[in-house]
Amino acid sequence: MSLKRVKRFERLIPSPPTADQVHNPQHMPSNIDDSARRDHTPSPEVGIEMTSSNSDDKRPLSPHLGIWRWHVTMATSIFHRASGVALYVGALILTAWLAALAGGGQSYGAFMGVLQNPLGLLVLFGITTAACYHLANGIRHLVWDAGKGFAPKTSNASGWATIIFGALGGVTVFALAFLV
Amino acid sequence: MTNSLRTPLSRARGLGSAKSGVGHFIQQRASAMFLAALLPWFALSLIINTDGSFPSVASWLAQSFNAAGTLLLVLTALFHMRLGMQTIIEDYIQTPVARTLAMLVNTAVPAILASVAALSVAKVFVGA
Repeated sequence: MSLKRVKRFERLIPSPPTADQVHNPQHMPSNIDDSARRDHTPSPEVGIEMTSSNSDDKRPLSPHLGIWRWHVTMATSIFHRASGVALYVGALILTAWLAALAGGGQSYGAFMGVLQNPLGLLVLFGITTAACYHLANGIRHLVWDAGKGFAPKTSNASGWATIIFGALGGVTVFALAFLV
Repeated sequence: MTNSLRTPLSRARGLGSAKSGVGHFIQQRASAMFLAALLPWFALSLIINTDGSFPSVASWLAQSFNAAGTLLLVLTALFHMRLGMQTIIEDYIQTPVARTLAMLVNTAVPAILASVAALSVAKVFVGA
């Protein structure tokens, strides 16, 4: 890696060192703590290969599940993706239901028999809950796309609201389906 | 870098986006908005107007408004679903061959489901 490339990394820390200091990290300004030095200061032996994975590198890269403390906006993001995958199965079931309906009373009855046994109902309840959650959180995303609701307090509150809507929505739809 | 005779623009060209991300983004949002209306309508209309038995559901779907709405729901959902799964594949599958295969499957599955759903709705609609 060229000296100039290294200097670009050095701009990340408060006071840019001179070219001489880049190759002599012990001359770094003392107001920088050790972690910053480890993260951004290329020592002479690793300076050549900045891109190689370094076990000392503690910079957060992306929200890896094992590293980040769970918080509501992170959970809603993960649930959104998970519920989307669940709805892939939901689309499969919806299409199969339509095909069974098109096949006539007998095939429809057989298919509903499968859906209405306890395991089928459990899957159906999970997909209904996923649909309610994905709908609510999708609307939350549309509001974000409009540039609103980014304040931490607001996004935390709307995150809890979508989780509650998803849970209540699944129960409500099932209650309506069995009672109405 | 500053010693190079190449202009900054020339160095940046070809290294940017795949140029189709905005279309994907807008299609995802547009289909989401239609689904936000279609899915609640579908669920509530079925719950209110049918008892889940074959005759009631078949006669519900034989009405033109319901048949059109159901078909629109399924097609929009499959379109939206394909875009979402594409994002997941691009995020998690790095191997070129596996990624291409996953993308092909992610195109085939919605296409097959769309064909089956469209023909099924059409069949119930015309009462064949």
